[in-house]
Parts: sequence; C-alpha cells; structure tokens
Amino acid sequence: MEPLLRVINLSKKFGTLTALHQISFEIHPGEVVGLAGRSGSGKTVLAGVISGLYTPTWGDIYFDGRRIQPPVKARQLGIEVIHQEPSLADNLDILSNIFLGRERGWPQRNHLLKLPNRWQMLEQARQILDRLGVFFPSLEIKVSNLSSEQRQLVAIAQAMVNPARLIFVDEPTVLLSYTYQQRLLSLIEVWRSQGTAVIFASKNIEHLFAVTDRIITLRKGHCVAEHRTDETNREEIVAEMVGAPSKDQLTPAIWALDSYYQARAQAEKLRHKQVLLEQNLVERDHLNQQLVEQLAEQVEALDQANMALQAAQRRLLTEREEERKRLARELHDQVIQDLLSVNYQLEELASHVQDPEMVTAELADIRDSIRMMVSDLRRICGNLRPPTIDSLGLGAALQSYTREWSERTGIALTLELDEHLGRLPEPIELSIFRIVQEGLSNVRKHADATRVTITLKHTSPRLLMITITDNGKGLSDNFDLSILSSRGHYGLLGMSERVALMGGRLRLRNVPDGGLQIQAEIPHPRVVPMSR
Amino acid sequence: MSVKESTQKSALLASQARITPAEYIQNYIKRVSSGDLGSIPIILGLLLIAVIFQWQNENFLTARNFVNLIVQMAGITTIAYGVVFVLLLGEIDLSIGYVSAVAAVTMTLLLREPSGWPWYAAMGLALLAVAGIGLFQGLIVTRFQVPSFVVTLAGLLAWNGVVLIMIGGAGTVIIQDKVIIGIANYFLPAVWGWIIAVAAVGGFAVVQVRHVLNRQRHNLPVTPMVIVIAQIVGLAVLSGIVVYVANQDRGVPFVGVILLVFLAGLSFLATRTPFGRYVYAVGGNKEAARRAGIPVERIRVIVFMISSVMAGFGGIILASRLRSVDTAAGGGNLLLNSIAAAVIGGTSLFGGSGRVSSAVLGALVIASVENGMGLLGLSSGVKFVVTGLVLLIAVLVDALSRQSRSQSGLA
Repeated sequence: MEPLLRVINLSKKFGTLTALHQISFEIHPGEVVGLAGRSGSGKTVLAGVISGLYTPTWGDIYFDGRRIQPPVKARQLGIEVIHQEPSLADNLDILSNIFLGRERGWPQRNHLLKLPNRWQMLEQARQILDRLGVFFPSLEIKVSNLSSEQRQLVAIAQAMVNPARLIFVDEPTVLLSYTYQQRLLSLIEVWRSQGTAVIFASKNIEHLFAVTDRIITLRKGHCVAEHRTDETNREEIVAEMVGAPSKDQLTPAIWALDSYYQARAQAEKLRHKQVLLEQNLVERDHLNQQLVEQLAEQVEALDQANMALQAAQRRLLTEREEERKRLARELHDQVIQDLLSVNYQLEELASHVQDPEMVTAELADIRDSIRMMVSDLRRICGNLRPPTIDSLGLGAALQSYTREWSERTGIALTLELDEHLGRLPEPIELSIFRIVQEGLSNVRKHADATRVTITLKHTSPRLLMITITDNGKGLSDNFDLSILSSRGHYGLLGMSERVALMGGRLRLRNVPDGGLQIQAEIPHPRVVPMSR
Repeated sequence: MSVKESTQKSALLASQARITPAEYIQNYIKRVSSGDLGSIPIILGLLLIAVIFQWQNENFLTARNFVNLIVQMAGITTIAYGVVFVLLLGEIDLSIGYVSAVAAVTMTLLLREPSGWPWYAAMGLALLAVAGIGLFQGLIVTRFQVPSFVVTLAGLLAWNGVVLIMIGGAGTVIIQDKVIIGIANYFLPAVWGWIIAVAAVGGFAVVQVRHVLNRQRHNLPVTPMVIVIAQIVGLAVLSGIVVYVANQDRGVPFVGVILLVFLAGLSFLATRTPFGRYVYAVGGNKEAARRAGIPVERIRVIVFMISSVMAGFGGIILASRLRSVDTAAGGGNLLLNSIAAAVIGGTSLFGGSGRVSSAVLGALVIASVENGMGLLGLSSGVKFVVTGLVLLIAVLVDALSRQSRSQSGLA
C-alpha cells in the first residue's frame, strides 16, 4: 500500500543549530507511529515542519504520493496537529477558537465572507466535547478564563472539527490529568480504527507502548532506531532515547517485587526532578545534590533487588528439587506400583492359559488397571501443564480449571472474561494461568471465603487486568510479603515475581466489605482477534 | 455519555438559559463594578462635555450646532472606521491622512476639465487608486516583515509629496460637481429623516429579537425580552430626538446616513464574517491564527486596503464639505484625530480588542471638543492641549478598568 506520508532526509537548521538531521520515515493510513525522545530530541520541530509552521532546510515530503512544496499546507491536506503548548486566540470565545479557520456556514467552501451558522457550530462543538468528556458551562466564555488543561482540551477539539487523514499528536498529555490522558489514548485508538494515520510524540513510554504500532526513537535530531512495538521493550527504547553505550548496563535484573517498585518510583521521582531542573537553572546545584542522594538510594534499592533475586534463585532451586521429589514419589507410589501389579497379573495369566474363562476375566482386570494408570498419568501431566491452554487458549483453560476447582472446593466462583481476550503469546497465557492458579490456591488455603470473582479485562489494547476478589478474611494489618516468605509461604511472592517478570504491576488490597482483592496488570503485545 | 447524563446537562443548560430581568441587571452591575465599563465612561464624558460647553456658551446645544457637529465629525469618523481594523490587528497606519488627500485630489482633478469625468467614475478610480496604495503598503509590511509603523511613516511623507505634485501650482482646486458637493452639504427632507429613523430602529429590532429567539431555541442564555424591548425603545427615543432636533434646523445630513450605513456594514464584517473573526484572532494571537490555517498575511494586506479605502472615503467627504481641495488637504491633525477617535472609543492599541462603533463615539468626543472650543473662540493651541488630555484620560480609564478586570479574573 502507498504510504500516506513519506519523509525523506528531512533536515531543519536554526542558525547553526541542527534541530533535525536527515529524518526519514513513512506512515500508512490507520497506523499509529510513536515518536520517542527526550526534550530537545526534535519531536516538536518535526511537528512544526509537518504542520507547516517551519520550512525544512532540505529534504522531501510526500503526502498521498505527491511531493509537497514546503511549507506544508497542513489543514488543506487534512493534517491536524495537536501541539504540546496550545496556542489559542485569548480574545475569542471557546466556540470561535474551536472552529477558527474552519467556520461552518454558507457557502460550504471556505471563504472569508461566508455567513457562519453559529447553531450548527454549537451543535458540532457539543458533540466533539462530549467525545472528549469535557463539559463547559457555556461555549461563549473567552478562552483567557480557562485553565491550561481546558485550553489544551479546546486545542484537541480544534483537531476534531474536520475528519483528518493524519493527526500529529505532540505530547499534549503533559498538561492533561490522568482521565483526559486516557481519553486521548482511546481517541487515538478510534482514529486508528477509522483509518486515520496518527503520529504520537511522547516522553511517556507507557503511553507509547499502549497505543502505537511502531516506535521511532529520536535523539538530538537524529533518527536512531525504529521498531515494531510488539518486537521491542521499554528498556530498549529508553536506552536508545538516552543513548547508553551498551544495552546491558540499562537492563539490570530488578524483578523482585518490592525493590523493583522502589526503583521504579525512584525513576519516576528522578524524572520529576529532571523536569524541575530544566525549569529552574538557579536551583541546579541543590537539585544535583538531591539527585546524587537519590542515585545512592537507587543503588541501594538495586542492591536489595539483587539480594532478593539471589533468594528467589535459591528458592527456585529448592522448589525444583521438591517438585522432582514429589513427582518421583507420585510416579513411584502409584504408576510403578500399578505397573508391578499388572506385571504380576500377567504372570498369573500365563499360568491360566488353558482356562479361557479365567483368561477373559483376568484380561478385563488388567485393562481396568491400565485405564486407571492412564488417568493417573493424565492427572499428573495436567498438573504439570494445563492441556487445554495450547489448543483452546487461556479463556477455555481458565473456564475448565475454575469449574473443576469450584466443584472440588465447594467455593462459588464467577469468571468474567474480556470478550476480546484473543490469543496471547504462550508464555504470557501460561503465566496468567499460573497466577490465577496460585491466587485460587491461596484462597482455598487461607481466605475462608465462600465466593470468588475472577475478571480478565483489557484496560488498553496492550494491558490486561486480572482481578481476583474473594469475600474471606482479607489481609492482616501487619501484612508483609517478606514475613510471609520467611515462614515458607511462597504463593503470593511467587505470583508477584511472575507479574514483575512480565513487566506488570501487582496490587493487593482489602475490599471494603472484607476479603482480599488481587489485581495484576500485565502488558502484552497487541491482541490478534480470535479467528472464527 | 449516557442518555440520562445528557438530559441532565441539557436541563442544566436550559435552566441557565432563562435569566430574569433582575438577574440580568445584577449581572450587569457586577460586570461594571468589576471594571468592565463598556461604553459608560465615554457616554459620561460626552454628557460632561455637553454640560461644560452649554454652561460656557448657550449656542452649543442648539439644533444648528447639532447638525454642524454631525457634518464635522463625518470625515474623521469614516477614516477612524478603517483605523479600528488596523488597530485590531495590532498594527498602525500613519499614511491615512495623506492617503485620504490622494483620493480627494485624484477625484477632484478627474472631475475638472480637461478630463471632466462623471462623479461616479472619478470617485471609483480615486478609491481604486487608494486601494492600490493599501495593497502596496500591506505587501511591503507582510513580504519583508517591516514594521507597519515605518512603512506607513514613509507613506505619510511620500503621499504628502504626491498631493503637492498633483495639485501643482494651482493651490486650490474647486469642486463643481453637484453630487459630490451634496455628500456633505445635502440635508434630508423632514419626512425622509423620519423614514430612515424608523427603518434603522425597525432593522435593529428585527435583528435583536431574531437573535434572542434563535438563542432560546438552542438553549443558550439570552438577554431577557424586557431588556431587549427597553433597548429598542431607548434607541427609538434617541433617534427620534436626533431627527426631531435636526429637522428643527436644515434636516438630517445625508452624510449622517452614510456614517450609519458604514457602521452597519463594517460591524457586520467585523463580527459576523470569518474575515472579521480572523482579524480579531490575528490581533489576539498571531501564532494561534497561523496554526489554525488562517492566511495571516492575506488578512493583514486586506486590512491595510480597508484602512486606505476608508481613508479615501473620508477624504472625499472632507473635500465635499470644503467644496474644494488644496495643498493642505490631509494635513494638520487629521491623522492623529482619526487614530485618537478609535482609541478614545475603546479600541486597544495592542490588537485584538475593540469595536467598529468605537470610531463613532470617539469621533463624536473629538468633534464636540473642537466644535465647543471653536464656539468659545479658543486658540488652536488650547484645542490641541484639551484634545490631548481627553485622549490621555480615555487611555487611562481603559488601562485602569483593564487592571481591575484582571484582578477580578475577567480579563
């Protein structure tokens, strides 16, 4: 298919500063391309060139197969740009700003003297703002009276007035609260499904991984890498953004739960501090001091992570030995004993060869024994690995497992699966299955519950939320994973390690009316819808 | 959004849409006390001027002087209409004084033998010529990104020179065309004065009532009908007085009707068309306008053309009033009075805020001061000082109200 936008060797210089250096990429209709990069990496300059605010120093831009003579006449081509900093006409009201340059009225063609239809514009503006989930008491308020978040929402509404073919979203999330960030991400999904191409520039790795198909990393105006989102990971992108000499240095094995989150929280704090630093050069020395301290803390956190890792490794080895011992015992006590008895029966049979009636009876006995053995072996195999998961997928495996579990334990169980669950990569499906298994075994052993609810829901196309809620005792007040594990209860710890290994998050909390809720959020590649 | 939510919202909107007259007046008082004074200072100023001059000289508030005042203010009002647009962009046009003279002289020379053109052709070509001047100056400002102050300052000198060259040794050129002289010297018969007043009030009433009904239909907050009717009645009384007083003397001046037509047409252009919206947007935030895909440079060029063409109309009205043009045409304080009129009327020098009607109010103040001091027989030195003070006061009132508005968060 012909790419919608193709940029070849695009460069932009401001004086002696090279803001963009030979950038080349292309984007197809219905594709979401992420632009990762730190401040000053050239994302905003690229947005400026694509929106026609800047004329590139050299390089070619093709849109819809035709070469564009810069500056790009973005609006005429159907390119909308949502800028990082909204720029609105403060002296005009919300409605006029939303439709600025695209007034509805008669005649339909854009014309300086057309008669605007205010009512039509009001109607459409209300629809757009509804889609954004924004409510203004009146659309006739001057935008100078709005908060910076509201101004950014007005700027986003501007981009939704006309159906666009390409939308460049340049990090508007900085000014938005969490709810509107999520709205914007889901809007990007909608645009994608409508066949609109979206370029999404962001410093927020989570956002990039949530919605993009491809990620292009920019560093200091250079295009340093391009990946399919499903084929890369967060560490790799971060490494490319900051330009670390070796990937190994930036992917430490920090997956023991507590310290992993500490490290993450530290990184978050660091990023916040970095923003402050950029804003306030005067406080730089002081902040540097704090940064050094925080780095020291982080190193300590990493040390702890390492210790936890070693402990986990030791436990893993012990558990493997235990598992082998159990398996050996099971095979020895049941299957081998049964085989021996079959062998004995066969010997018996040899001595009764002359009596056909006895032979028939004996043979029936032997067949029964063998059938028993097969079902024993099946059960052992089933415990080692759920058989349905490979053929029928996670959903079916969970359904059959939970039904069996509920019958076995007598605890009522409700399973709610996302209707678009689809097939996930095998290791992820297996891990999720194990998490549910561990969770349920935890409920059976400790919770005294009579009812369990399990839900699997996508919170974004690349995030699956698993929730296990029971109505049992809940967590004790002085709950601590490390105390549990020191007493040899590894269920929750193992679960948390599984989640951390997959780069997800685990939350444990007591629900208001008693009982424990376990929530695990697991990132995974974009779901392929199940073929019917 | 769920249906329930949306009905709740529209219910909320509907409840907001209904405002009682008492609430409306409360809101208005709140707006004024927070510093959004609107036209109050200028109307108070006009009353003050009337009282002072009437007290000093009983000829000020006479029918004869009232009609004179309308004719005297017509020239600067017309030029100030164009200035409002330039100021809305945050630009300035210093060339308008002599551009008005270029239009007047071109027309007069074309009317005179040997060319002897009919009035409409002469006037058309003169306006076309000044439109060309606006285009030329606008293109230089936008293409080369030169400040309009400098470009139009150059225009001020150059067009002054052009006027002198065109008039040459003649000194004064008399206009003999009846129609052109009639522009500023024809007075409507009493009946026509009334007909036009009724038409103007009726037109205003239809526009206002339709607006309110439309807003009601779309669940928008509306001015209560009582207030709207009060406004219409107020306008009717005011225009009744104007026509009645004018009819006591020579009648309503034709040029007054021209001012009204320009006011209606240009107000429509500024507030109802995308073009007007873009002028405000460019003046408020050029970057936002550019991002919105507005042809910013084209808008700026067109505004410079509007400024020149309105100056041209103003020049023709002034020439018609004097029945001649001379080497002093477009000079004196015409330029600064026109800009002062727009500013006194409330148009911001920083762009993005102001109304076309501010030109009328401002010009009325300036013409009243000049007229009144003329009656008192004061020297032109005193006139300049007083006009300067009035301008200063107007700007100060605007600045103070802006400050208090930004403190009360209604900027």
